[in-house]
Amino acid sequence: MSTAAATKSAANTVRKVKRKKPLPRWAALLIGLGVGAVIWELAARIYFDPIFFAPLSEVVTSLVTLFGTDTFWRALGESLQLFVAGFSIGAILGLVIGVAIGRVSLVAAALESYVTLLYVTPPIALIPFVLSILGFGYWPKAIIVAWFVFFPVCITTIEGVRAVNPRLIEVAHSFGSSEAKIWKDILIPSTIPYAMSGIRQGIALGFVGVVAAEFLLDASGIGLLLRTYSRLYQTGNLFAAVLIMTALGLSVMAIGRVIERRFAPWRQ
Amino acid sequence: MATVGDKTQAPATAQPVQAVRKQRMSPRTKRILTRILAVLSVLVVWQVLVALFGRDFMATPLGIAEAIPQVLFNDPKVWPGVWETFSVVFRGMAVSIVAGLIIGLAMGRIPFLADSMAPYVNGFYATPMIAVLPIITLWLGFNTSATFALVVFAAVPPMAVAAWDGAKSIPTRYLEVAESFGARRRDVWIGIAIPASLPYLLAGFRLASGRALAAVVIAEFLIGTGQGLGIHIMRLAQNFYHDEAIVALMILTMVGLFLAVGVEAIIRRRYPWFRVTTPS
Amino acid sequence: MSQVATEHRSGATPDHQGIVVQGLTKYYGDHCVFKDISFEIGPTEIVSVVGPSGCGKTTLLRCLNGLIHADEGSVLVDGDLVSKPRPEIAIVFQDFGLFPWKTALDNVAYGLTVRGTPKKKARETARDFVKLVALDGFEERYPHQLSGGMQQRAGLARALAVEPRVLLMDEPFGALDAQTRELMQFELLQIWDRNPAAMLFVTHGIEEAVLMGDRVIVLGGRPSGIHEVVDVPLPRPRDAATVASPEFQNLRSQVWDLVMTVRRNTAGADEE
Repeated sequence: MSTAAATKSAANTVRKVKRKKPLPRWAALLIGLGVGAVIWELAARIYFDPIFFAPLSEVVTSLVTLFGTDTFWRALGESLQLFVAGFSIGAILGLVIGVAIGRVSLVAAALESYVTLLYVTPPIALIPFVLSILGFGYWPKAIIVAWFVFFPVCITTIEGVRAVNPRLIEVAHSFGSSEAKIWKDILIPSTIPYAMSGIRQGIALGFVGVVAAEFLLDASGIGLLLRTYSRLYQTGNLFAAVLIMTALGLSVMAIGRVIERRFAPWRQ
Repeated sequence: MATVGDKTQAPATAQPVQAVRKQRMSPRTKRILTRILAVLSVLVVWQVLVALFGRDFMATPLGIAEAIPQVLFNDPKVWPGVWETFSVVFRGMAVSIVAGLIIGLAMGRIPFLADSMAPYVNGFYATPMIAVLPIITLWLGFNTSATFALVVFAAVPPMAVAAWDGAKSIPTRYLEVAESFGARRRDVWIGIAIPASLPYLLAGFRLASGRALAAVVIAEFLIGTGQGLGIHIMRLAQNFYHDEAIVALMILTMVGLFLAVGVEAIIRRRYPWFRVTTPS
Repeated sequence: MSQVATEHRSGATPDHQGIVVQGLTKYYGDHCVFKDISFEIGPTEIVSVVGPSGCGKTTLLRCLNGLIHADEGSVLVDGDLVSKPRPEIAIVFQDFGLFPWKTALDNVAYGLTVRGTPKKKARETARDFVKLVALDGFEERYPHQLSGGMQQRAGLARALAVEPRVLLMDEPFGALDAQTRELMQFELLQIWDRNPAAMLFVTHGIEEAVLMGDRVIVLGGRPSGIHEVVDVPLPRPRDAATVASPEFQNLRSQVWDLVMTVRRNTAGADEE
């Protein structure tokens, strides 16, 4: 309910109502970005040593240059490839094991405690182990990414399988339905929304995993760019690369939300 | 490691489960035993796999069991490491909660702020912590200040978003009541916005503390110096003491969990009135 | 119990003039919520307002306590224009509107503390009103630990604790089960008898409207406005016997017919 500002007048006269028009949202957004940009530019030029803080203009130039180079696109491709590899492994394993745990109580008895325990362990902390066992290379990195992706997918899938109304399964059984049909007709459709929510989280975490793996194991892709620029104090390029990471991160989150909305519209 | 529920075993009396068959154990005992066996079988498989295919530094259940007392009691670096690591987490979280609250509340109640600051909050949230660390170390050096800064960077956005969501979702009824009885702006902001958003704030706290812990670990790994538990784990792993490293990692995880769950339990105790709807 | 009433009746002054509403009109965008509403409520009168859904009852109430501003017309309480919430005007909500994080006592004290009364004194005063609404023993409970009826008593106590000249009731018993509702009606009447104030009682219930009010305003039509006002000259104090009386039943039918007419008019205008 809006409360309009009213001018006071004598008791019985008609009152005029003035409504305050709120600033349109895109205007607020532009102002916010604009102010930030100005502060960035000025602060960098006036206060800070250019080695430590590249002004916005320099970062923009670096960005543009970067887009023109081969190195950048190749790096992006490497990272993307790593993401796809790790994500596929992690997601598939997560779905399969999640369904197994949710549906087969023996498997649940055996595995669920471990899964939950590992879920709360910071995935980053596992990297030194992978490194010392498997060394540098492509597949260790993919395994790390898979690790990041596996847990949200698995946990949400378990939740989804368990959330199936047992009454429905009872009904199916009493009509003589085979296990396979139960899967097809009941389990899979009701698990999908949950699993998709997990996939959304998996996408986001997979992205983090890629960067982490590329940073901490042998560098490739975007991680390599970040490390190189920071080592060479190429602050302009470094900031540009980070901005690209931000953009990627935002896109990843947006894609995830689209997926979730398509498959699980009831989740926030 | 694995919880199997209560371990009380029913006496092995001859209780027939069905009139026809005679079983030696009650169904409940049977179930508990099956679960214990299932959990143990995974450990057995693990032990065997490593023995057959693994290298001798790899962690095994028996090795970990042996290492537990070693690490807990005999390793001089563990508990100082816990202290070092978690004091940074604690300080970082304290700052992040306050900052996140202020930012989020402001965004939730003032639409202009919400629209203008959203790109920054979302941008920081979406940027992987690792990507930002080189910049932070560039500015602050390779020390605890950098770790602290990364923790704040990691923990503020989820707190801010949670406070924002909470402030946006304050039931209008509470605001109406407040206005009707003549509350001033300040009463509304402090007296109503914060208590009404508590469920959201708690969800945000959970997210933020997870990220804070990850941030500390990442920072310690990449900075490579210092007394933190993260570095200790990394060094143990690098030097092929995997059993000890895993125990140390478990300690890290447990302490982190304990703190997060502990804070939440305290808040729920103190404020018994709210029911948490978990926004995912 | 009248002890409580005299102790807290300090607010009665000669210029207690009740409510005067004149030509009140409200639009939401192009939609007219109600048009040209005028009525008066004396300082110790209860006026009920009934009407079909969407007739603007709730909006009207909000205009009376200053939460909303009308587009035309005026609201005077004690001769002064109402432009924002005032301490003399208290409101009771259908869904109780208690703060879940405050105890019942603190909720009752809220109207006092929020306007600056020191906490200790506010709670003392609140205790008296908690007793008045028969909620003593439950002061330290939280709203989620109270039944609907108890929560509404707390809401009522909160409104009474600020010793208002004007009580605005927004379908206060609408969320309660039928039995509790009837009980609360009689209790409210008893409490009001001892602490009279000008009261506007908005409700969906036709019997309730006749039971509570000295007059019943039937709202409705397109655009919504005062369709008719029915006088309810039943003697006070009113109780179960009143409800059983033939006069009551007559008035009830009268109001019922009016409301049904208005409903048809409103529906008819809708079918275009």
